[in-house]
Amino acid sequence: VLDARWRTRGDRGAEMRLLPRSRALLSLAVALILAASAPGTSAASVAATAATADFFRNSTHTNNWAILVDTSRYWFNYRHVANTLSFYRTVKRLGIPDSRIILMLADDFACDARNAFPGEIYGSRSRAVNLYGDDIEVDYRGYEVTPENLLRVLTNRHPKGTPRSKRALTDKRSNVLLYLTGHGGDEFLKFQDQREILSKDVADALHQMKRKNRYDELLFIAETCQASTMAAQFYSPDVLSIGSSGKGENSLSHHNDDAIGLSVIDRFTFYTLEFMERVRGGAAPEDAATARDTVNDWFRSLTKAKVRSTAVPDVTNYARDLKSVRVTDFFGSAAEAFPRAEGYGGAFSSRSENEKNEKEKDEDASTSSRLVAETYAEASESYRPLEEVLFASDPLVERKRNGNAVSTFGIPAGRIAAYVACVAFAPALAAASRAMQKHF
Amino acid sequence: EIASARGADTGSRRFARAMLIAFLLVILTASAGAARESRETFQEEALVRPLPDGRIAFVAHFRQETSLAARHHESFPKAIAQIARATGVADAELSFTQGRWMYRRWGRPPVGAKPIGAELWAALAAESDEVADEGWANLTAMFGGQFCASLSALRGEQVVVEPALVFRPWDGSARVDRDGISSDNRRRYGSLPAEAVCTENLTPWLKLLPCRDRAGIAALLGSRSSVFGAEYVSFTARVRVRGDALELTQSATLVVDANKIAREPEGGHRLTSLLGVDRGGGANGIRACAAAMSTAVHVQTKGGTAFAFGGRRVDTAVTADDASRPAARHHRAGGLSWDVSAAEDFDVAVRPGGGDEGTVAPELYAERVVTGSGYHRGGISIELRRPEGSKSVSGTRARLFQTLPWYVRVFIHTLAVEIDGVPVPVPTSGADVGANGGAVEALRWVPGVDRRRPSTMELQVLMPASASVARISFKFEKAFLRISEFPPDANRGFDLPAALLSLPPVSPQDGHEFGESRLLDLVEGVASEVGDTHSEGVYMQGALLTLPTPDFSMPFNVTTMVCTLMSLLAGALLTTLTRRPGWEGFSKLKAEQRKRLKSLEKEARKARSGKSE
Repeated sequence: VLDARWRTRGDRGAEMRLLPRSRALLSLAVALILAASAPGTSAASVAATAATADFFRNSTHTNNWAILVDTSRYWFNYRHVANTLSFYRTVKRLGIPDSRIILMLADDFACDARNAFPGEIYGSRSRAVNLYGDDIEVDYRGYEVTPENLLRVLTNRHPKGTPRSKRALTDKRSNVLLYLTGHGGDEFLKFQDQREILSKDVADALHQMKRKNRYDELLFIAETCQASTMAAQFYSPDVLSIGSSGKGENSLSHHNDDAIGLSVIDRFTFYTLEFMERVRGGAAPEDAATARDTVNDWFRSLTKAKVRSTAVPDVTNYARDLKSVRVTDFFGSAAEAFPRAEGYGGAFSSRSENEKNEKEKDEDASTSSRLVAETYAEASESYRPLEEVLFASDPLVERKRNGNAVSTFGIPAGRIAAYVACVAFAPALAAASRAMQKHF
Repeated sequence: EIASARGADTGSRRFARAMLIAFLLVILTASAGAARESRETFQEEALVRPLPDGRIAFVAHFRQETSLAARHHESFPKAIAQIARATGVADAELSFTQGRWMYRRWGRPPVGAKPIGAELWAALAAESDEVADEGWANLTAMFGGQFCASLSALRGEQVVVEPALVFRPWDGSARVDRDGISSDNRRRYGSLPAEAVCTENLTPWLKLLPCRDRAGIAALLGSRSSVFGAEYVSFTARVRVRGDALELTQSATLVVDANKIAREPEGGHRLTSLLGVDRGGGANGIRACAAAMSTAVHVQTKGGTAFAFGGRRVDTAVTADDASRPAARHHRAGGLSWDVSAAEDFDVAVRPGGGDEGTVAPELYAERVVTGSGYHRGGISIELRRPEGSKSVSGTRARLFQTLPWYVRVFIHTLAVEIDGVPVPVPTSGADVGANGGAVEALRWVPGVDRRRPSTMELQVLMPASASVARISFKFEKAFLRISEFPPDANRGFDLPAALLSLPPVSPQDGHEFGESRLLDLVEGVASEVGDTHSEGVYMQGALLTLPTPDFSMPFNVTTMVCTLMSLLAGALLTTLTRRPGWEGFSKLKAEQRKRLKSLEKEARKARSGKSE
């Protein structure tokens, strides 16, 4: 019942109200349209693509968590703390509260005696934004930042008496952002220059998370040297990962601040922050436009010219089309509640026509109120009798399943390439087999 | 049938209605009772004291009280009430400190100075040690979560169980009362000298206050960069259960270098600019917190002056009793107090008078150094020195508390006490020695156990009136740690917890009015209740100890080298074992054979194809 009333941002699409069978038919139709309009791009096909882009937006999460880890100790690694805090700032700004952020900082630089700006951390020379802020909550710090504790947080296996603030209490509807930064190499990451965590360790922890229904989707970000190798061993579904550099590449820092005397931020994080600062989490129409920025837009903005290493996304374990995944699915809070026309007791009372007319009038009032009104109307249209809600299978899960099934129509580039390769090599293979037959 | 059913229905409905009304009445009376019960109080005070070397000490003091049984609170932080109930704590104090109070330069601190890092001590109301241990574990976990600190590290090997001479009331008498006031209370102590202290600790501390850092005295702590840019910053939270009442006392002490801050035209420094909360223009001064029953500002200066700024207008040479602004009262010689409970924008400028500012030296200075060299053995020497020019009639009695981690293995037989260079006998047998009339009146020694508990030494020393220096020294051996026990920055050294010297409570200055202000009572060392005499604690500086630390990359180097050598050896061995004389040409022979075979095949195929044609 709760799921039916509380929707995520992704539930705006009309497909909620379609039965699975009709949905499958529709997807077939869309696929046909796509296929037909493939050679020449017409206005109709653009519109159809736009429609499908919205159609395939099928995030099923209801809450967001962020686990942000800086694994480097010692003053000269200032930039790693700044990296982590940049992400902390972004997720907090976009609405994830401190209670849903696990922040691990391996060293205290804000109050370090060497810091010329006590209590402050800056990620750029301009020092426009104090990343440390006034109300930061660091959940694990200093010696507590160990591979063991990271794995404990991921799998939620803690010793008795561990306070709530140190636990990630995620559920199967949680979208989790996992960010690791530090010094690493091929499939490993160092913690405080003492211990290491392997890609395999993280992969197994993630698998355990999936098995224990601890995430809906997970975005894994690594900002280390050879970062993309950290995700090499992952095998759990619904994990999207990106590393700041490819195998054999170094991740580089962006610039120095002479007053601090060190590099203050890494390139990948700097340009990610640059992209994210544009994204606003507000409800105003102009904010809503930026909130539609997709993960694809973000990845594309991280060009090699800027990052000076290859930011490699890994979609092998991820089914959704990146063009339909909003960055706010991971960086923002999904807690977008909207009132039902019937109020909270609406399932038990009937709606009058008057109300509906009033709503339609509201729609014309202004852009901002129209947005609200749309959600209003949608909510009331998706009204279903209580029994149906109670006894129907979980609509979100159903939608997810179907969504994954049809999302192949989103046609990832890799699959096209594989198909093209197959077609291209088929004659060659045939010729080869003929030659062999002749030979023997 | 229908009618009777309807009758039964209305009857049951009437009954239900009556029940509902009764239920509501019960709730109403209960809530009224609860409202009567929860007499919550909140008082806030600040104290400014110029120090002789141009620095200014600022103390903010907050006291909240509620009923222990209350489930709902108006302003008292619920988290603290829950912690108090869940852990069975009778008295606990947590402190976070950065920097060090310089006793020789600054004299006695207004409220007790604390050791560097985080420190927690607690008296737990528990009938057995197991219950107390559980309560302590919960307390460290809860406080750790609440204040973003690694307090959960204060387990097992880090905890001092039942300190006997310190962390309990002491009036300065020779009698060693091992049970304290109440034998039900079990005491635990732990400190983390290397713990970082920063914004994430201060913010939750401020959040315990009804107005956070938005109004009242706490607004003066609003600038994090000023707080953590201070030379000494310490903030403590003390939770105490007194009968039915639950009390939370918070105090913060800052020492700010006033020389770095611009002076007012008429001389002196405004409090708001000292603490970096003066953003220029508008009302920046103190606006009393609405939840506070009283808000007061005290200035302690001898020879210096203080100006009050009321409203937005800045006046020079304000007389203390101007009707337009809060009136100042002289609380004692050189001291001024303002009641700013109704103030909208109050600020005070302090002009130091120069000279010694009337600082009072503690009865004894205490310093601790680590002696010896090398990685194997070392020693600790503690020096207690009477300030020059100070006189004592009956001698000074002091209690010393020194705890060391298990890897510092103290040789207790090397414990030596010298007074003015003359050795005095030290009782070394037994865990506890009663008063023996000597200079060392009591010794309590709890040896450390590897990986299980730290060693604890407690001494009660009577320094004769004629003596000026007492030196306490002992030697120790450093243990080898296992590789997994080294912290990541082992080469930096290991922080030893600060030692504590407990001195008898000082007598208040003449003219002090008891009960007028909690903070001033505290400053004057006056007990607020009978039987609650608090002795004065002087913490010595922390020390850094270098332990025998291996080169952690060595195992990898060794492994790599050994593997290389092994493979070389094995390869050579294999070659010598398998190669035989005369086989040198074997591969060449084989290659020739293969070549011939191929040519033969080719000929055969040609012959075959020729045949088929």
